[in-house]
Amino acid sequence: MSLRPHIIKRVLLGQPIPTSEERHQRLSKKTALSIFSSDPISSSAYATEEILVVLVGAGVVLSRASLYISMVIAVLLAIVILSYQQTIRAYPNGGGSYIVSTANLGRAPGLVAATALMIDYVMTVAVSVAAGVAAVTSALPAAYPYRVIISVVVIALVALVNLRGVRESGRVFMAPTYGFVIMAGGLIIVGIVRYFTGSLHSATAGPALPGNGLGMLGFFLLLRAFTAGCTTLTGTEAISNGVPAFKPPESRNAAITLGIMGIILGSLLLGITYLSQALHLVPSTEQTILSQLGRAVYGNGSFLYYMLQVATMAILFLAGNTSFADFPRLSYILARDGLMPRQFMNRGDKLAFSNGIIGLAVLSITIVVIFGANVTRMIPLYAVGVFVSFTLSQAGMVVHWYRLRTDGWRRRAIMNGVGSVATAIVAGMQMVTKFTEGAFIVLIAGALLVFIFDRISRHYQRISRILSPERIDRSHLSSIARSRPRTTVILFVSQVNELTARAIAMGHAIAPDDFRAVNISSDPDQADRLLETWEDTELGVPLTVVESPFREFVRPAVEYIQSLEPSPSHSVTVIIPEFIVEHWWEHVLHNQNALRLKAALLGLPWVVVTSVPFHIGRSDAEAAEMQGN
Amino acid sequence: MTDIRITVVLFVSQVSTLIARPLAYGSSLAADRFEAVTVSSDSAATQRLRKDWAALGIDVPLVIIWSEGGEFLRPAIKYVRSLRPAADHSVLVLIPELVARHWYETILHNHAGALLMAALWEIPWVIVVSIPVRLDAKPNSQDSE
Repeated sequence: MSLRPHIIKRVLLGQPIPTSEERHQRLSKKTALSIFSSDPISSSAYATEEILVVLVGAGVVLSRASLYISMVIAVLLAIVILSYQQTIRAYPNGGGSYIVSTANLGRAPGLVAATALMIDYVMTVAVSVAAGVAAVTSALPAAYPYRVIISVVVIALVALVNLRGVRESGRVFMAPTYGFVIMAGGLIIVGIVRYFTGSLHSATAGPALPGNGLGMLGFFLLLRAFTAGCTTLTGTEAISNGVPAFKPPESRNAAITLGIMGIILGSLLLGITYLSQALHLVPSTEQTILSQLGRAVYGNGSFLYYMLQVATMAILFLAGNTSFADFPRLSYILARDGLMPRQFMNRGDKLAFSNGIIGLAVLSITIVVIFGANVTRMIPLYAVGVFVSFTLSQAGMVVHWYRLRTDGWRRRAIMNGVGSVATAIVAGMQMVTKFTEGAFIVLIAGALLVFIFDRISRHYQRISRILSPERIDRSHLSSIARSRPRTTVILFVSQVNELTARAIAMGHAIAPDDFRAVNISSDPDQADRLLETWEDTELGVPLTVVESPFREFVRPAVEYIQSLEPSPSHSVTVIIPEFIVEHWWEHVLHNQNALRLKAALLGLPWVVVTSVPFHIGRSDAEAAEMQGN
Repeated sequence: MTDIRITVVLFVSQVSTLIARPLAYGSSLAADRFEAVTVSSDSAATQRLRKDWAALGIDVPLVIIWSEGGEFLRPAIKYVRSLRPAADHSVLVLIPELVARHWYETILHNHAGALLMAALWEIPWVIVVSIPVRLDAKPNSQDSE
């Protein structure tokens, strides 16, 4: 194999980190707040918009409704946060809904929770990046047609940064969270001040406010708007998943950070919603609500406005980044439990779970492309997964407290129980109200994932049962291990040269008694010449010529091997020289026959393939080109 | 023809049907040394392995390498590199390959072996031997006489 891929990897990723460095990669509360709370806080950038989209879409702008809806959402947020603080304390090793559900509710609910979480993480990246790009296009409308490409590029870059290791991405992104909180917080404060001092006017003269007689239609509308606004809560579980990343004492720091985050998020949601309805803002495709608010409060095209948009974009991209910490961590846990292929347990050079990172990038890019980087269209897929995992996690906690029955367990169980019921109701509402808009996709994808996880899990369990030391017949095993089967070693040759000599030396060393060189020949004259050269060179090893009238190589080779009757007491070893060349494409050129022979031999019982590497330079490669039949 | 000295290495993690054939094969080669190597980060599992290994009653030594963070590849490669005291030595690494009956099994297994194989290719004096192992419902059937 050539060295090129390794060089590229080194250039992109830098030096590998030894595992002993892992502890130093932990996060302080300040840094953790900026990484883990970016997702929930960033939801405030588009939550209000989603509420208004529903209300306005029905043709009315209900003046105070959006505000009341956001108050209810804030209460729900408080409940969920208090509930998760308990989870953090009970599970300091993190893992979130999957671990809590599996441990307390059983395997099947655990599978569902795992599925819900994975969907949640993928959608977090897709929605956050798309919303961040929307902030950019609101400030620079000329970029609007390119939003899909920009989103894809951003996701790829974030993935790359994550492959380099947690600490670096933490430092790089500390500014955006605090930047957004300051700019958006400032927006709200300045906005309220200006509104009450009369220097802020409605952006548009909104449609006439309706009376009180809305009836049932109005109620369902409010329900839908509330359901849409619940997207605010997406991301609140991030901290409970990432508890191990905090500096010790991990649980306490994580719980505190979660609380601070909740207060910030709730305040932002209420503030933005209040101002939006006070100014009668209407959602539009080209300008996000936040951007409209920014233009109104900070001034159209002012420096502060652009700062707001930049901060919005930055925190949203950072929110997407959160998933790149959590998704691979979750896949590692799932792989460890045998629900996913073991490749997801690999830590790359930078202590990052590389396969998880790459998988997440591919999935989220696919979603973004399919939905055209449109946030509103992606929301239906987003919140369902989140609320299902909330429900399972809190239900699991109720069982947890019930089992432990320590002091005050009833209080805690009720807390988690209320949270679980509340989120279950919202999850149901999400599925029902948004079913045709995309929630059905989640249902299908979720069922498919659960099915796949289940099958993989059963497969690994079956294999480990077969391999388990208790099951095997120990004496049988050791008698096999002690049996020394006869070995015949075969080397396929077509010329006499230095490589042939080296391979023969190798084969002879491992089986001096039965080593044969074989030539598959389709040209009798060539075969005769080879035999002559062979005897002249006195290699000390017999050469067998096998005729192949149809210029084939692999089939006659396999037939010859089978004619030796490989069996448990007589194994056949086939030496296949592989040329290690400078360029990757040369590998395919030179090793054609070798690759095909290997593939054909893999299925044969009691035939062993030995790959002998020959490192050659370019001139040797040209000479060796004649080697293949 | 120069005489090449050969050391044969088999990486193991537990005593199972997977290693029976590679052990038999390795013992059948006319090598100067044949040893089994485990890269370990869990001392309880390693204790179990030691016991099971002794119970096997074969005279293949078990070498234990400690790896702090649960890494496999780097300590394994480092050990293999340390095995070459002189120029005329070669090292054969036996890698059991589960023969996949269904397409999805190729994704679920063998990737550790494939990674090891790819890493070992870089070393000129290491030879990789791939030993196919079939896993049927009856674990001993493929080895019945």
